[in-house]
Formats: sequence, C-alpha cells, structure tokens
Amino acid sequence: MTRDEWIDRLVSDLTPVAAPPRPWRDVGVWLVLAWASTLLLTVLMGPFRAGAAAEWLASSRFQLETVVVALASVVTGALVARAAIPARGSARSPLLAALLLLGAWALLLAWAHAVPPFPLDMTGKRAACVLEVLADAALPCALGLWWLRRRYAVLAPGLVGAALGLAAGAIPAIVMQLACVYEPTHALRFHLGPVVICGLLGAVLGRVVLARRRGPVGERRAR
Amino acid sequence: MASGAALAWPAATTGEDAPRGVTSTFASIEPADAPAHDAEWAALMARAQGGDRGAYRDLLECVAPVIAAYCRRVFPEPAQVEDCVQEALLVLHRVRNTYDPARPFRPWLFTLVRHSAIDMLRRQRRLREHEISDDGAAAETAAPSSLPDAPGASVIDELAVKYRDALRLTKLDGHSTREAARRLGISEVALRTRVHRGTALVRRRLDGEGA
Repeated sequence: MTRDEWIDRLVSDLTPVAAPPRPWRDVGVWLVLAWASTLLLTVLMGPFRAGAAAEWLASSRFQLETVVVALASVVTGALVARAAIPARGSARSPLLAALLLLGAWALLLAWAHAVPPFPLDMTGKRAACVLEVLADAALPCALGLWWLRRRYAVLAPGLVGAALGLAAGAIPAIVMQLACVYEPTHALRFHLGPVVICGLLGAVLGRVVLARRRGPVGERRAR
Repeated sequence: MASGAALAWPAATTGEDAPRGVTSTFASIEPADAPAHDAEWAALMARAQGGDRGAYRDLLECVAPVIAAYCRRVFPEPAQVEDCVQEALLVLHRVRNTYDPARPFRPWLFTLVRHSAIDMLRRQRRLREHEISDDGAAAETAAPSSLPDAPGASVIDELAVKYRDALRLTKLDGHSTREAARRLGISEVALRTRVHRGTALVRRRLDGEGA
C-alpha cells in the first residue's frame, strides 16, 4: 500500500475523539477511589488495632511513615498519568519515585526495629494481612490499568504497570500498619513485601493490558 | 505495513535505552521554520480531533515527509522507511486523542515517530534472533512448485510451502505485507517472520551454491 493510499485509509477512518485526558483530575479521582475502597475492605475484613490511633498521634515517626507511604501513592500515581501521555513525562520517573519513597519507608521500619518508637507487641495481628494487602490493591490496580488503556497512550507498559502496582499496593500496606500489628519485621515481610509483589504483577499486567491498545483512544462516533 | 502489530511502546520518552541508530533529537531534520509549522500542525490536529477530514489529510500530508526524513536516518532500505512512516502515521491515528491542542504539537508527534522507529528496530532484531535460533527450519522443505523466473526463484521453489508462499507474494509478486498476510490468512507479524526466515534460508542456500 502506498503512502497516499495509507493516508486515504486513515482519513476515511477518522472520527471525532473525546477531549484529551486530564491527568491531575484522573489521578485525584483514582486516589479517592483507591483509598476509599481500601479503607472499606479493611473495615469489612475486621476492626483496626486497638490503640492504633493513640500510637499514631503519639509517635512522629509513625506519622512520618504514614506520610511517606501516602506520598508514594500520590506522587507515583501522578507521574504514572503524566508518563502515559506522549511527550509529557518520563516512564522511569514514577517507578523511581515509588522505589525511593518505599525504600524510605523500609529504612524507617529498619530504624523502628533498632529503636522502637513505642513498646511493640503482636497484639491485634490480623490473620491474613498479606492476602488483605494483595486483595485491597487489586481493585485500584485494575481500575488504573483500565483507565490508562481507555484514555491514555502508555509508551512503556512494563515500567508504568510496575509503578501503578506499587502505588496501588502502597495504600493498603500503610492502612495495614494501623489495622494490623505495628512490628517492623512483620511490616517489612507482610505489609511491604506484598507491595513488591504488586509491582511485579503490575509490570506483567501492564505489558499484557497496556501494550495491546489498538483503537483510537476516547473515540466517539460522529452523530 | 504493520498495522496489526501490537503497540508495544518503546523507550522514546521513557528513558529506556534506544536501539543503536535512533537519534535522540529531530533538530537535524527540522526546517528552520519549524515553529511556524508547529502552530499550523497544532491547529490542523485540533480540527482533526473534531472530525475534520480535510484538516486531517492536510496534516498527514504535511508531517509524512518530515517523518520520512527521520526514518531515512534510521533505516537503510526505502521499504523500511515507508513501513516506518506508515507505522508512525497509524500510531498518531490511534492515540490522536492524547494530543492537547494547548501544547506544542511537534514534541508529541516526534515522540510517537521515535517510538515507531524503535519499535520497528526491536522487531527486526527479534526476527534476526529467531532466524539464528531456527536451525531446524532448513529441514522443512517441500515439493517444488512453479514460480516466476527471478533471481533465487529456483531456490525459493525448494523451500517449505509457508516460506515459499510468503516470499513469492511479498518479494516476487510485490504485494504489501498487509495484503500478503490477508491472502495467506495469517497475521502480519507471522508473515514477516516467514519472510525473514525464508530470506535467510535462500541466502544460506545461495551462499552454499557459490562456495
């Protein structure tokens, strides 16, 4: 097929499209839905740890942990949306941001292991916190992938998928710090560990789901 | 034209390493009045997003030579250049909703073009790796059939049916990849694989005859 014929085909296939994606608005909606679904599922699965709120209010290091991980979900989510628009952002930056902030959380946990911010015990441990983190992250991750596939043009599906998985996993992980026990070794293995799994699954799903986008995005038929 | 190929987005704007041969900027191929073009192209694209086919045609006809100039720096064969241009136009078509008319057009366009070129280079590299590892393919020969009288035609005649048909349709009869794939009832990726493997087999056999 010659170039002119190809252009003819593309022109004949042209239909109006929806307005360009608005990453900040989309990320805001995604974050609200992700946090709401995580909190709801966590409450449905069992009560929060007794005294968690008092510990959080009393310990600035616990507060810092919460802020760092919450920031990981917000910053990574925003960078993912920007990276999913050609020429708007690098695809490495969301993954880098997620790894840095989650790495900072790991360091804070290591510090808490060496010098506990308050007396630690295993009271209030939830039976399957690992599975809860994974299950709670599934919905935000699926929602994000669907959104990216439908409205955006992801240039590096693996990297973006991994970052999205980490952002989605970070939310239930920090919620679990309040719902389950606060014990650094346990948190590293059973709260932060599943976040890494979320990232790996996100990379695989991203390559499968986001790389197969074929039709014009946001297309709507002319009336 | 690889319209059926999955859009495995490359590293163009992602920071991943690009295959060798892909330049990082378009400065050297852009005319001096590129900024003026940018405003014009942005306006055309905005109208195309609303469904204006005339504006869309104008846009594609304007950008195609610029894309071709870039692809010529990456690919040596004119056919590859044309494939790259058409692939880039297809990607532009598919993701046209992601262009924000309030922003410059050229960075958006060139990100897609660079992606298309890198994507093609990667596919070619994968196909070459397939050829190297496909040591059993030479054994897959079939009964000869009639073929046009062309250089290497007799060798093509001795190939397995699947390679022979792929080469005959694309190299001898001059059909496009899309058309040949449609005729054989296979995907374009599968057709390309067969063409590359078939070509490698022909080359190997011709080299053997020459030795």
